[in-house]
Amino acid sequence: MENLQLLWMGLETACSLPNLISAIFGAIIGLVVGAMPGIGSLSGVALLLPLTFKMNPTTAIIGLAALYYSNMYGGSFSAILLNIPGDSPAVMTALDGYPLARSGRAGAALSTAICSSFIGGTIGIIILTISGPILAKWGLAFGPAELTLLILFAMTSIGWLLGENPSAGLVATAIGVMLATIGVDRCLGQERFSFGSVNLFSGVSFIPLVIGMFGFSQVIDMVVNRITYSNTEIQKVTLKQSMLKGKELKGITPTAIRTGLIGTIVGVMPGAGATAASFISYIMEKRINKNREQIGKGALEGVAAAEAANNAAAAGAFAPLLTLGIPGGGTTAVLLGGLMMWGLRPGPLLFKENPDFVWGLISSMYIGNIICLLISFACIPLMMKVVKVPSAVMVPVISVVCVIGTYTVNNNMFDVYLMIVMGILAYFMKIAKIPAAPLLLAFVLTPMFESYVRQAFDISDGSFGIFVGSNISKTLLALTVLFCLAPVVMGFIKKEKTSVDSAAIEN
Amino acid sequence: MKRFLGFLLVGIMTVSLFGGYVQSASKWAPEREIEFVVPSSPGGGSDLNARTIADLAQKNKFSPYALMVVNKPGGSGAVSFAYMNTKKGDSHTLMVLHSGQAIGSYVNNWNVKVSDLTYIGTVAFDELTLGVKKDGKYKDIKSLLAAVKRQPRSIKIGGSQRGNSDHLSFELINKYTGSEFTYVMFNSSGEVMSALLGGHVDVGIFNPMECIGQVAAGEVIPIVTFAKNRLTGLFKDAPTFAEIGYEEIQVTEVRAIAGPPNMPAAAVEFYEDMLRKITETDEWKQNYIEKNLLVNNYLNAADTKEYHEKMIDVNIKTFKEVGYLK
Amino acid sequence: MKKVVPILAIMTGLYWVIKGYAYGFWVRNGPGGGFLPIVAGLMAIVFSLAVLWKDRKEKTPSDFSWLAFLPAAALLGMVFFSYLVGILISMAVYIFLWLKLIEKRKLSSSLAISFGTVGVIYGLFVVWLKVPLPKGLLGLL
Repeated sequence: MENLQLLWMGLETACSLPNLISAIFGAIIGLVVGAMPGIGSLSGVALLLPLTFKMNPTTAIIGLAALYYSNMYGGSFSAILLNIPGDSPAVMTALDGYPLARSGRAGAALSTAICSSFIGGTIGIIILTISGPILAKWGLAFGPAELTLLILFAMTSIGWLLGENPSAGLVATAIGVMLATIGVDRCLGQERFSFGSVNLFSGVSFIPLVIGMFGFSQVIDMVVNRITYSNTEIQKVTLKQSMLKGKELKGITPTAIRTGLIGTIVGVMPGAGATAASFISYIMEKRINKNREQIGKGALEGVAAAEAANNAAAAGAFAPLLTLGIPGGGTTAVLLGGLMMWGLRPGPLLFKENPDFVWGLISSMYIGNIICLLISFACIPLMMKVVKVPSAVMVPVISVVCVIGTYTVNNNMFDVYLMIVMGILAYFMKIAKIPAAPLLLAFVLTPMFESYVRQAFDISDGSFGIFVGSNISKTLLALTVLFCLAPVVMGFIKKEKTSVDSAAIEN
Repeated sequence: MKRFLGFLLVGIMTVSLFGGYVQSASKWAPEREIEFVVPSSPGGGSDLNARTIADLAQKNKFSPYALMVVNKPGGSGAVSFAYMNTKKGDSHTLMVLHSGQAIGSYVNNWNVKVSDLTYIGTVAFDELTLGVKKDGKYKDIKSLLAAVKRQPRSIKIGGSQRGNSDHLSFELINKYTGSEFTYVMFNSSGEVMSALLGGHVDVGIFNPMECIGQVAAGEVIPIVTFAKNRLTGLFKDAPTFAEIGYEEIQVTEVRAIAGPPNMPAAAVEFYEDMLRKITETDEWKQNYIEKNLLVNNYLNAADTKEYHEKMIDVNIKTFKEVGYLK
Repeated sequence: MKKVVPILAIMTGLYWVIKGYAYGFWVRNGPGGGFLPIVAGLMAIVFSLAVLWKDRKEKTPSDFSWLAFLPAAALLGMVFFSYLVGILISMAVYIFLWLKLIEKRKLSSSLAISFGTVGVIYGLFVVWLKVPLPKGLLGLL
């Protein structure tokens, strides 16, 4: 109950005029920055940080935090409308969001993204309020061995995303891992597969890969299949129509709550982050959701899963930052730098020494989330204009956006060439019916996996026992085995069934 | 004649910069945002160092354009070195150079060595300390050493990256105390702290600033330092290795700034000056140096180069002695 | 054309396995630099073969079209041109030419879209976010 009192006190801080303005300002910038491909919350916060040094620390962090989580809202917009994920956590949103937009349901997809972002974010903040310190301590229980198994679990469950032909999906996974091993080895400092090119020493960047495989391959598709696209042009969408119907809302709410919980937990773990949260949640929903057959082909539930999870993770990431002074990812690390420069000392004492700051921030997140919700809805009519643009015009414009989004990541033209090559690769993969999503998943997870597994073996001195050393490890290992075997078993059952069916037809 | 030489110089500079910028006769200053590369994950000592410098440069208008901090972790720093090498002759890229990586570029035999880069200046010296968890098994250095003697390889020391001063200090302990600890490499000191607090490693190697929040809260106890003299403040109870009888175990880290290979001399001069001004501000001394228990010690480009060359020689010798290098 | 990716994956996989072996599969009590490359390379080979085997009887022509290379070629042209005039001008020219020549739109609308898009990019990236965009040899915009 003490927490509630402190929260109430914090609410008063958060509602002061400068703090409210700061939250609104941060939310708007976050939306814009999030929607722009290539520029994510990390650059947004880093760019804005120097402007905040003269502010009161509470006002400053309220604005920056608002930027951080509203960025997760913004990332879904370009993913749904253009098939270009604005930021890596929005990759999974594009998988369902873009097909929805193509079939004339862009409004519904956007509303779903916004509503579930709100639900996920709120869940994350509630958990942070009630049990932030406990949660952060619990996150520490995930050491290298546990994290290895968590990533392994996520990687093996990619199997669920593979569709009709598992081999094709596994080819994509293998390509993803191979691409991720290019560049200097994080563990042993050894140079791998760089072919003497300095641009490959630091490895393949993620953003050119994503923009190439989603955005640019979309352009190629538009040029090749000109006719099919021009049919979708004539449609009128209003804000009213894009509001979700009661039934749809009922469908996505449980999804958003479930993935919000998972997202928060993954967000708390050291180093896992919003991208991993949305991947893991999406895969889980693909397995257990009532509407699972449709997920991946254009289901509101798919959008809800990805968006609720990444917003929840953004909130969850504040738990280790505030209670332990340990950043979970890039953006929170910049915020940590900010805390130090405002003269606060992040660490276990922050809650005791600066309660007004901590609780002001947490309360502001409730308000900020509502602000994001309102602003995002207000943006829908504007964004619907994008859908009405004829595809003939979209082709060169999206191409240019792809180039600029890719270039700005590292300010390097090499990435632009890479993006173009990836777009062509994605086109050939589409022809061979090899899905792109497993490739991206594997690419994101591989570097983490490699670091963690090496650390685990260093700790255990080469013994495999460490992977069954704790209850968390045992649970994760059991889940992994279960998830590995299940598709095989299910596939077998399905095969039996179809062969029986076809036999019946033949007869 | 003088004029002709001036033109020639301008011409050479313009060509060497690939026609990008026309050099005026007056002092050079940045013409756009400066990319400030940090070779480790956000949240560590190098990261804070870079962000403080970037902030002070902007606040006090020491640079007409902002320094944009970019984290490029990986390969214990090799990734950033390789990246700097792609920016040959560029005047708008800087990197935080930690002595650990300077040594690592030789010890781990990276393609790009520190001598390929351009030294700009040294901004601070830093100490190293060993920290344990407050409710962990070992409360002081003596019991720790006794325990590892009883059961070799049973105690894990977490440090960030390999072939650098974290790793060197680990090797020195093993060598001079005659014990056998195990080294676990993480990507940043933030990760080391997570692992220590979670009980996944027994001991962590930190700079004072990397653990001061936890030390203040009593969660982490500094049990020994690698410094020459005892540290002050929260670390005053931790003995130095020399005090407990191991004089050879002493490591000091240097925080310097470097530019890409062949950085134009005019640019080096500008940044040298910028760093000197930054290290003279009160905010730097109070909010950065004092708070993080560093030693303020500005060195210009030439002195930085000399210091590093000497240091690298000594370190290579040590790594050879302990058998890590052949 | 369906076989392009599986065959490419097999070749890459082979290379990854061979190089991975040199990097070391198991080093000092743990997975070495070659561990994942070897695993991934083998996966690529095995499953690509599986994909090829499954499709061996399929005779339906794939829906491949050489048109797919058109946007890539156009973009490459744009990027090369940007080394001379800078990326903003090069983008404006690219959008205009594409709309006028390939989409056969009116001159006025082509110009408007091209300038509009580049204007928005200039405002967002250069003015607001201060991202340094390549200016090219002529150093114009």
